[in-house]
Amino acid sequence: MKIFGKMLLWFILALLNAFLTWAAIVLFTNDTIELGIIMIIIIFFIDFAVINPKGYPYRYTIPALSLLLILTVYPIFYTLKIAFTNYGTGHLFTRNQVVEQLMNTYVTDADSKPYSYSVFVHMEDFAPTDEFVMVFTDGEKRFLAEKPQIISVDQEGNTSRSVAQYREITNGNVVIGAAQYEIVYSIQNEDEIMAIEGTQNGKRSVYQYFFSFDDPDTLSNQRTFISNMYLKYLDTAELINPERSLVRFGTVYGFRKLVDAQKKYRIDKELYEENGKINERTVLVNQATGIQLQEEDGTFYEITPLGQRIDVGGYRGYVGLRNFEKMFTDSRFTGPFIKILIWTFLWAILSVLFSFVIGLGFALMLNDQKFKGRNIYRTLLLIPWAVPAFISVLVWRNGFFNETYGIINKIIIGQWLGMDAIRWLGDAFMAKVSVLIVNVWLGFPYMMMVCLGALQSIPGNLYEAASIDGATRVRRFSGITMPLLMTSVAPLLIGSFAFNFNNFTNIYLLTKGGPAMSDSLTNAGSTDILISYTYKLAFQSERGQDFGYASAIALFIFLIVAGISFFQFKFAGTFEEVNRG
Amino acid sequence: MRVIKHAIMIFLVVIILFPMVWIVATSVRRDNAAFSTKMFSNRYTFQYFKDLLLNRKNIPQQISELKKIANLSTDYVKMSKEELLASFNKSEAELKQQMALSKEQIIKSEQYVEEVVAFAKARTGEMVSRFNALKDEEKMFFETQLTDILASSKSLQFELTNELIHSFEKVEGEEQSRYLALIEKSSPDFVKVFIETEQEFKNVANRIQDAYQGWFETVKNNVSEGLQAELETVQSTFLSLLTPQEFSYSKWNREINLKGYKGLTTELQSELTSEQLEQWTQLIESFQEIAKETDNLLKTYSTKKEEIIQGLENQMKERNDVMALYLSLEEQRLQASNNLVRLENQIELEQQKLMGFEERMGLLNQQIQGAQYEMQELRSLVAVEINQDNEYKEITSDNKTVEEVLSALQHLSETIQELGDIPVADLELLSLKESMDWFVGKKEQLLMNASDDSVKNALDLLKSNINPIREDLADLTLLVEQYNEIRLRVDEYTQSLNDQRVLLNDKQAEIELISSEYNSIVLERRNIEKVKGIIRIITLLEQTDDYEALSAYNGAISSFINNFSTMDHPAKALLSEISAFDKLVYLDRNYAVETSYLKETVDEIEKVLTQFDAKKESYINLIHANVMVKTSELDAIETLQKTAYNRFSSELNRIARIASDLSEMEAYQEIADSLERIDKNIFESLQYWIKKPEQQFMRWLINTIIIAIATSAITVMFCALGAYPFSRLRFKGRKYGLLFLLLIQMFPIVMGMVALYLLLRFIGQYLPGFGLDSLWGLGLIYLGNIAFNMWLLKGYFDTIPNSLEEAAMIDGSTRFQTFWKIVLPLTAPMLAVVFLIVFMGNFNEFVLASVVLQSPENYTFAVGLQSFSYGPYQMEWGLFTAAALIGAIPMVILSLSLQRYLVSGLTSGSVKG
Repeated sequence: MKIFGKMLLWFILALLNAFLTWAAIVLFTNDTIELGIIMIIIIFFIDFAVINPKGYPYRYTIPALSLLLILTVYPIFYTLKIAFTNYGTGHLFTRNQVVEQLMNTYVTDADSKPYSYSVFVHMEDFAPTDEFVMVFTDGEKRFLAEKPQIISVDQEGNTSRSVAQYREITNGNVVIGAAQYEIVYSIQNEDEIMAIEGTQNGKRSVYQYFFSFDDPDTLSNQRTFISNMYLKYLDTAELINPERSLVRFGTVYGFRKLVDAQKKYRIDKELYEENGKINERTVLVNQATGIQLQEEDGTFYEITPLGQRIDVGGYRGYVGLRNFEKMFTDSRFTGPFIKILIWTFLWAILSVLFSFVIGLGFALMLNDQKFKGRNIYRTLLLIPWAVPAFISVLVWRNGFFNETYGIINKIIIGQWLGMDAIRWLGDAFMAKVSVLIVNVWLGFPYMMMVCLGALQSIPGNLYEAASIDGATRVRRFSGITMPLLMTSVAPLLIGSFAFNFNNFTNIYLLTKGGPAMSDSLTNAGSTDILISYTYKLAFQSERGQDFGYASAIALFIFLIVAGISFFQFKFAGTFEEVNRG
Repeated sequence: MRVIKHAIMIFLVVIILFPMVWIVATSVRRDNAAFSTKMFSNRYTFQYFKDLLLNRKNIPQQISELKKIANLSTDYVKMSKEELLASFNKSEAELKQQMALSKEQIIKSEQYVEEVVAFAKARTGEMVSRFNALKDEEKMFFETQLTDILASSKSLQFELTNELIHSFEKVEGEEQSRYLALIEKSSPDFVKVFIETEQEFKNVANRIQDAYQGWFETVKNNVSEGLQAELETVQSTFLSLLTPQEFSYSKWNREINLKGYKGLTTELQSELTSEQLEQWTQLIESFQEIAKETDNLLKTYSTKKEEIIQGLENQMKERNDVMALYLSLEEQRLQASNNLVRLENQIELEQQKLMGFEERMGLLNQQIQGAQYEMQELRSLVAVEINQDNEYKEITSDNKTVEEVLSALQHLSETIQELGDIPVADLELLSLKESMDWFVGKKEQLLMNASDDSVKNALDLLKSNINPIREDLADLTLLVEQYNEIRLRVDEYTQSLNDQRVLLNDKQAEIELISSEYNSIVLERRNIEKVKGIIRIITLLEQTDDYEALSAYNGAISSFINNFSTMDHPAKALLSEISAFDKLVYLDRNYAVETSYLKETVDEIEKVLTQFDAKKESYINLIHANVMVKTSELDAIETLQKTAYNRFSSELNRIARIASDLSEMEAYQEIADSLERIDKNIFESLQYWIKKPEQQFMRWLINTIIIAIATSAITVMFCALGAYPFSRLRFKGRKYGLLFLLLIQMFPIVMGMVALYLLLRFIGQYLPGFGLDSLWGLGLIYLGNIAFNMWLLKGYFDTIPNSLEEAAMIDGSTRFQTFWKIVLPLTAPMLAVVFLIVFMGNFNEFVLASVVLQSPENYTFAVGLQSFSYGPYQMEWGLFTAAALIGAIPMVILSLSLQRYLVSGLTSGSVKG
């Protein structure tokens, strides 16, 4: 039995190893090397913990550690990595992907004549299958193209490249490779093709006339044509013929016509010297002009005969410390960044300060044992803290701060005070006031609870002794209450500061960081704190995403928060807990 | 002291909790009036909660569902024929049922409407008597108003008199005599004439009446029973012709002739004696004489009236002139400003055209620029070449090319010359021309060097360039011609624009000059209207004997107030009560009209549905074969529903509103119940018709709960496992492991999102269920929140004494057994707490969810609620607050019961701050 159990364990371990190794290989081949490394670390860790008896304590941590590595460590590492790249709008893809994209660009002669086409589909039970051939003509000659074969598919599953052969129709016959096609003309009109009979490997199939853009009678089939054939096979298809030029659906005509086209670039090899070694790399050459594309800062540039440079596509590349330079030396970025940095500190400090003062006030009122109903008041006052923040922030934003119909403007300011509406969320200063109001409202109950707990732990005889010595109320507060309170509350205040420093939800839901700073290149807003600013840089693409810059700021935030937390742990004695035992 | 403390606390609690109270109040109010000063409405409803939790599709949604099936939208693409038919039938049945329900609600209300109307009708008398008590005071008030206005301006007098003279014949009785009294003040002549005329007329009328009366009396006895009535008609017709307003000779004459022989029918004539007929003829003849006399009288009267009016008009002439001048000026000004706008539009249009041309020229310019660069390059090339060897060379036979090229160049150069000033490409053209001229100038040298290879090449290149340049220039010439044409036109327009501006300013200045005078006149004329209004009010006031007259009086007052201004007249309060009461009295009429429209709509839709039923199967066959089907029946139903709803909803809502307003009034407490029911029934009936936004609230809620429970269960399990060795076992790297946990939990997860996003996208390629826009993918990310909870559990494990485990180990149990059987059960409460904390954290999480989840059916509650504050829901306060409440209540309960743990120092920052 025991042996059986062991066998099972080994078997599972083997399976896990196999799976993770496969995953690592897939990751390595997909340009995500970091994650692949993490996978290998996990494999070694598991094997070590399970096989080696010394690894026993580690066995418990396998699931937690694996998740931590993949979901926490990897993102940190990734952030660290892209902080040194230009990853962002215009530089989203790897070099290979951009080269592939450029290889799929075509040029069309302006004066080449477009071909009109008709599609012939093999029918089964009177329903169209996706077996089809195409006949197209430039008015004189007629050509037949087979159904294209899909060469590559992109990440969304759409066909990115497909190829088919086409040949001229001569005497009602076409031979493409092993397949032979015979054209069946209409009896009334010799030019009208009724159907096409195809024979391949002795198998015969008939293709019925199905759709042509120029034939209004087939309009009802257009939907089927587009969804079943065009988008899947034809949109990106290259129809080729060794004797003639390439034919495809061009950008000008869409699916209406076929046009002659040719690839804009071809791939070439170039040798270059780096650190004394000769390396080879691929370069792109414009077929028409024969000029090689230049590469600089992760961007391909085309050089026109007159010497102009045209940006034709960018890829992800390392830019060194440029993102950090942006933060502190590039005047276009530094202005908003410094403003946001100052406001982030101001916001965290003021939030903590106000909510602490208000919370302490309530705590002092409720700390009276003789005060009846204190528990009810306490519970009621806790409600703002108990309601999920995203709900109350939305309520504040929609119900209270709205300029025209919000309760504050409409009823309090408008009806009771008879003043002009305040632009709560539209004005830079008032927006800051608004987010602070909401944050204090959300945060003071927590402070109240913390202070209450701390106040209750202060021994009463201290006060008795003080009052015997003739200390006034104020003196007792400043001499006994505050110092004793602060010893236990200070680490929590620091923790609260660190939390508010990164309090993304409140800012984002209430103002989205707005109103926008007018003088900023990026989409910085007046109430943006660092974390919401980075979020906007990374995920909101109105003015272009900039993952690299966002990651650099994220690292900066990480440093600040780690610094703050260091003090917090110092105060709270967390490090002793680590060192103990 | 204590009381003050309580007062302060209560005050503060009320302020602080106000947003929460607002959510509750708004979520149950029916009118969506989230921002009314009245916090709590008695028109409460749980409809929003019902909508959110049950999400039953109502009539418009069912119709759109039917259309979706007909268009074979994504949900239905993969269905078989039978399934399609079943979905059709289901939506149809649901549609019919809901229409029936809405109708039922309406019909249910009818008895309440009757009740209300009966109540109201029984109280009309009371209203009238209450009003009569105020009548004298009311009259007094308006008399004073009238005097005040009349005293306000002297110059008013003429205008007023003029106006009253003009309009006094249109009014009667009391009102007329009031008019006369006012007229007399400034034009006693007219009154005198009028009264004299009237008196004279009365005399004449009396005379005639006496004579006729006698004749009719005598004749009466002779006439048989059957013709008595006819005789009376004749009599009354004649007598009615004798009032001064009605009287005129010509009219009278026509009346006589219309009725056969002098106004008597043949039957009547046959029964009368010849003597009586003779008398009748005489009477008529004498009457004709008198009538002619009275006609003259009236003519004199109107001449005199005209004279008086003329006199008044003369006195007012100056003022009228001012008015006329002002109006004509105003018209001219308007004309000018219209012209201005028209011209501006035209100019803009032309400028757009110009821009188009400039764009095209820009394109040409690029080409020309290219050509120019090339030309310059060639030029420098050739220049070097021909400067190099100055020695004489023989002119070779190749000079034909040179000649040809150069003459072409010369020609082109001339073309450029002719082009003259053009808006773009000026410099390029000039330098192009210069280069060309240079070539032409160097003809000799070129000829000399024509055999040189590089020159030859250059010439060939030049030659090949000539044609494109020629074409470009031709295009450019054409463009420039058109361009200049438009430019000229624009200049013209601008010129006349300026003219119009000057004109406009002139007119403006002129208007300025007389505007104050004009305004004062307008004000006075308004006062005249006001006087007339008040006179009418006073007249009506005196006739308010029954409810209808009172209602009419109320109408007159409110139209007066509409036209002029509000005033605090004594009966104001009562009248506004009557206005409300009025609505009750006529409720049945309005209700019947509007609800019948609803009922008709239901019937019509049902009729169309029957037609649809007949075709349903064939539709499905077509739809299933992927053929685009135009289901005209469904279109018809949709239009029916839309137009009908727009009409009856606003009216019915108005009725409901009135009913609810009245039900709150003290006076209608007796029928308040019925009124509320009417209001409620209308609301519920309309709920079936209102266009509601599509939402999947329940789905969001379930999504959130599933994900939160799954992730917190896994998190707790992994954390307990992972934390155990850190607490109990000693191993290498323990200390650094703990520090590592502390460090990485500080990294803002928002920032790891780029990586997590890409990670999910990557996973999604292999395991679609765990990719982007999937709940499990989101759950996977939530599992990353482990470090902190491990730390938390490690701390708790530390508090459990080691001795228990040691005892067990001595008894032979393994490490894992002690962990599983001893430590875990002991930590169960803490595990539960961690579970709930993680559950709450993930329930409330929205940042990651909003990045990962894209399609609404995958939303979690937090993301879904956020979507409630944009787009179609933005004004749906009831829906929004109800949704917020549903999500908030369990969280509030959880938070409050876990407050001890959540507030303790360790957990700060994890869930709540």
